[in-house]
Amino acid sequence: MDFGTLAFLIPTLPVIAFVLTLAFGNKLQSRAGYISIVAIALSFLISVLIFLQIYPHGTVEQSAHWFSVLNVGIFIDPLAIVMLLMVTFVSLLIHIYALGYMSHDPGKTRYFAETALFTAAMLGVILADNILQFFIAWELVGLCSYLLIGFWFRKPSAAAAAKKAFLTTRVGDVLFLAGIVILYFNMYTHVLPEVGGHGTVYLLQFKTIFEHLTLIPTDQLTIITLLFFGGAVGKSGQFPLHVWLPDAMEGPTTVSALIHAATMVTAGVYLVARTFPMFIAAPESLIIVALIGGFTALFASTMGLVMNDIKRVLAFSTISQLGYMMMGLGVGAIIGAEAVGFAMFHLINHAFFKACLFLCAGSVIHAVGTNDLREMGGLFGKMKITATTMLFSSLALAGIGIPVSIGAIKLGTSGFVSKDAIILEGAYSYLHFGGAYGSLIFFFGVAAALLTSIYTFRLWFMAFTGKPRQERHAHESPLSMTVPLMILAVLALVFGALTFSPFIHYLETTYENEFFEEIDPNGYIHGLAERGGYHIPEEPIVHLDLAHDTLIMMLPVIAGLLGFIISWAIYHKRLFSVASIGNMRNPLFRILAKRYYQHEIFIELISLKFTYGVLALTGEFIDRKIVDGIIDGISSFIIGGAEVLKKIQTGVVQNYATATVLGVALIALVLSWGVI
Amino acid sequence: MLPVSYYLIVSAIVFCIGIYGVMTLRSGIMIMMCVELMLNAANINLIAFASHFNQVNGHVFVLFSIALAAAEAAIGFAILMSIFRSKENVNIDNINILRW
Amino acid sequence: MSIVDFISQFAPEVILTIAALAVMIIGLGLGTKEKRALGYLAAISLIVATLIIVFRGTYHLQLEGIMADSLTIDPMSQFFKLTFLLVSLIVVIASLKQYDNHSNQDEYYTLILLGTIGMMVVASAIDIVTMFIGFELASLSTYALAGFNKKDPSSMEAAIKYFIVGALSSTLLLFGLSYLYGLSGGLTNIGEIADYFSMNPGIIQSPMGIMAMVLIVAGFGFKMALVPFHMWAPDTYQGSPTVISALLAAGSKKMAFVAAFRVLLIAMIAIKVDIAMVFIILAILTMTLGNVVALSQKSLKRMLAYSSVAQAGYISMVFVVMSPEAMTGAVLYVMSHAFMKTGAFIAVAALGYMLLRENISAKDVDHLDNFAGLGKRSPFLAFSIMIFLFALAGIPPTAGFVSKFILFYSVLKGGFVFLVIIAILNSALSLYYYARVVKYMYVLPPSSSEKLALPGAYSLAILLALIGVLAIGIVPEPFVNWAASAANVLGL
Repeated sequence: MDFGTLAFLIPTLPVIAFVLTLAFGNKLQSRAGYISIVAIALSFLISVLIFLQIYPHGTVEQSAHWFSVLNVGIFIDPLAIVMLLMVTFVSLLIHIYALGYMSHDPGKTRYFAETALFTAAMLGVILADNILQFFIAWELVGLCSYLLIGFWFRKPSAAAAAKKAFLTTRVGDVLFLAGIVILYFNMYTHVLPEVGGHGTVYLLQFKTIFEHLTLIPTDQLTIITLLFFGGAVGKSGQFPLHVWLPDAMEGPTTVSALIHAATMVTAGVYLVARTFPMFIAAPESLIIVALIGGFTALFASTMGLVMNDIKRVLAFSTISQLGYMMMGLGVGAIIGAEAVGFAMFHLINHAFFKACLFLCAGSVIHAVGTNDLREMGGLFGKMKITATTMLFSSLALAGIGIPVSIGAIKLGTSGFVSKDAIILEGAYSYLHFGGAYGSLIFFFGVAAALLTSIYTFRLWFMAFTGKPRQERHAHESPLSMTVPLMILAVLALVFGALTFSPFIHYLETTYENEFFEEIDPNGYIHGLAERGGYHIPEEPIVHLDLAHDTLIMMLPVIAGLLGFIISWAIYHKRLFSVASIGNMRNPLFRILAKRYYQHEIFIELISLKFTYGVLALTGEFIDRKIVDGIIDGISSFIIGGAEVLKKIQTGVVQNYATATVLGVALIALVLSWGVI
Repeated sequence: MLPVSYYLIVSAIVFCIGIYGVMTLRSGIMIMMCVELMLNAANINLIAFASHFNQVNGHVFVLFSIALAAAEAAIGFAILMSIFRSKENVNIDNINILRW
Repeated sequence: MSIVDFISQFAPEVILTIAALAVMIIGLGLGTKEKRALGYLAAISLIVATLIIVFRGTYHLQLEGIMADSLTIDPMSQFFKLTFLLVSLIVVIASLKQYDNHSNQDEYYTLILLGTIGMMVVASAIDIVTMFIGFELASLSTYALAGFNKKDPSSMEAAIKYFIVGALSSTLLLFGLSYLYGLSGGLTNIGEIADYFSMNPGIIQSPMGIMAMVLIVAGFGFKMALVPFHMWAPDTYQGSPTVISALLAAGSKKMAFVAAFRVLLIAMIAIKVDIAMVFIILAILTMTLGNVVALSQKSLKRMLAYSSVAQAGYISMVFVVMSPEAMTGAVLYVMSHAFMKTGAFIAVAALGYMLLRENISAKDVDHLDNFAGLGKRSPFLAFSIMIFLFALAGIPPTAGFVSKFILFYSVLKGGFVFLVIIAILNSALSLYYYARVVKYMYVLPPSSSEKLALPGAYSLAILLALIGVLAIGIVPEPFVNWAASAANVLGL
């Protein structure tokens, strides 16, 4: 059986679940979530079957005529199938978790309907075979996020956050749409004359675009890709349109998990990866992608240091990790198609550990009833499973590991393997081969890795160790909540290590297969990069010998461990001062502790005061005042204009007659000015 | 026989008087009379042209236009009557609950 | 052509005329309760007329003999007639419930039918006299309909404003036509006038020729609600009975477009560049003002009115480009917009009806606050409003997207990039106020948890409009082809 024919069911099933849940949800009450779960499980199953069928070289392509030069269709290639598997799988786990988490919420029917639609929209984004369909699904994702972030609409802050998310991402969407329009215009003027004679050609289909990319002038491509990236910036929360993401925490925690791990924010990265050949052909855009990505990674991690809301810390970590993915894609001008592999690998790993982190946070919030880290503490004994799974995923987020490979297996958490790949094989190779701003991008990567590690463990230590700062009846969550946690935690630990090289090689075939070889026998991506003035080194960069430069090779590891130590010293040690007397008998420990006691002042004064006081507050200032101010300014200008303009409508009919006569005079003027 | 331009000048003057009235007068009935003036200005044009070219279609046009003007006046007065019933006057610049 | 042929070719109009007269005459002898049947009679006559148009499909007929110089049957006329008939049908169906206890409902249906006939005459007219008569027939009927709620001061205000500005504009139009008549040496057939001017291009460039074009543009601009001739539209759409707002926005407004398509071609012959300049200014003013002012509206009817103004701005870009593709887009846009706007207004009318039934003294039933939580109180109504609004914003896969795509694209192809950019920015802006309504319906809490029961007549009317919007959006090919053959008639 050809499972490809079932591909249309992948997004359709959740849509059906959405309709059924809305229609019958009130009758099913607590069982309403099962419809969505079954639908998404089936979608996952179909994705797996399709994956097994097309691995390692196949694709699924279906297309139907819509009108004019537009079509609707499905396109599954390696890039799409890994996204499909990840989204359906993570979404499935989150839905199962939500059964327990949302069990007391009166709006759970609406919740499960909306999340099913949300997942369906994201699957629609992934499956689209043309940019327009992509955009439609993309907009639907935005709409669903608006509904879900504002799920508790009676909370004013939730309503405001939903509005903010919607408006901010719309800024990006407008840019994206403008990019599509310009792309279409270019396809029409440059490509259609070439291919128009051979029957119907669908101008916005990805394959058509890729096939004739060289016909479009580079400067046009730069504009188009920058506009596309504008859309990705909005959706993926990159600087300066990241403002909505931290506020998006107002929704239920499971929604945050869905937005941050499986859907929505990854759509932006997927957009850049999907249109990667266009970016390769316009290297200026790629450099901007890398710079914005790197800067966002660092910037957001400084913000992560000062947040006390557990979900906000995670939100900033998402922004920061998305920055890494963008950076991974951005260095593609030198790295070639492997860059897509690195970025997607980090995306998948990030989905696992970030979903796990959010669900753990949800579990914690569920147990203690607050988001505030300062009111938590000492939960380890009460919530062993949550604490352990959260520790695993924190290790992954912080990128803890050893830079040693045993065969094809790298030793380290998933986050380590993929972040290491982005920093070393991506950013460092980029620097090594002379990419523009290489050292800056590399610095962003390493510095952000250090800060990430600090705030990640700060979070864990503050939540789970030390004395309970508030007496609450914390208890472990039910099985439907802990099982997804365990699955995700195990994946967060080992997925990266086990699958690194097959994954990268599989993803590479997205843009290196027969279809692309036919277009350019000398290597499609290579050819495009050459055209943009870049040269992708012939030998695969994975084998780049870094052994002679041990320090650089060790940098990510050092950053990760150093972060852990700093965090441990500040947030753990200080809090454990009473309970850890036993440890203090240990002389080595004592020395370390004393040294760190001195260092603590140092860190308090220099690092903390400086980082928090200057960096983070500057960041906060830029964030809250300037970026928000500009967006608010534009909208208040237009709304103010509306208030003034509507006063023209005086309500007196003689004035209307006067306006008509003035209009006549205006037209007469224009016409006679032209003729006489 | 007078040249056709004389008629056109007269009709243009009548038309402009009508426009001025519509823009400035307060009473609905006066405004409607001004609209009638403008319609008749157009009719003068049509008649003048029709007799100038010695064609019948212009006369037909005018007949239709007069009939339409009558119908329009009927509807206009009906609306003004309803307004008069509720407001006791037909000063339409006071009618501005719908605005902005 | 014999009189029998004539009747068979214009069977839809003839059927409607008979039905209109029948409704009026039968209505004289009936009580309020029995008059309800007349609404069904009107609906049936509209259905029959629609079916005739649909089954005859698109064809071009060279008429001979009687009325051959005045009326034509071509894909353009049939396309617009179908639009008008469907809009009137939807409006009549929606009115069945609204006015089932009104003592003057016979007059109401007569006026709707007569207005529809007027619009259909304009769609077929190729003679300025016939066109003017059709124009006035439709206008006069709708003046009366706008003021149909005689007890309601805002309905009366809507009527008098519509009437005064309308009467002014039709005199402008007539004055312009009289000049056109004189300049062409006594011709009234539009084709002949165009031929005459193409042979003597200097005439239309004379001051009198320009004045004629100015006045004609102004006359049509009033019905099309182009800025600055739009001033009546927001007030009238807001004050009129809501179903009549639907008829005005979707029917009589579109009539002006078909008339303008046919007549302005005359101007295109000699002063193409200058007319294009005029419409660049009018289109930009219209779409921008419409969208910006719509942002601040709290009354949904008024918001839809401004949105209607903005949409007219988009369509009027066709007069700038005047290519067959642009005409295809514009013609399709007219039909799409007719469905979207009728649907939206009828849905607002349905909500108003239900709220008034709940509380007879309710004020401002179309205020945005009344839409809060509608998704809970009446899921079907809320869903269809959402679809109509998204269609108006141009979101695929709705009719709004398909027609916007074709129209904007043809303008781009015509080389007016800045115009398209302004139009796209406007579309993006418009989504803000459309989405706000959706937010009210689905995100905000309802004022009362009681479900609203949607009367069957309204459901049917909304469903028809919904089918229209989605059909054009999902299977656009047949509609595009028809629109293209309609556009070809003009021989651009």
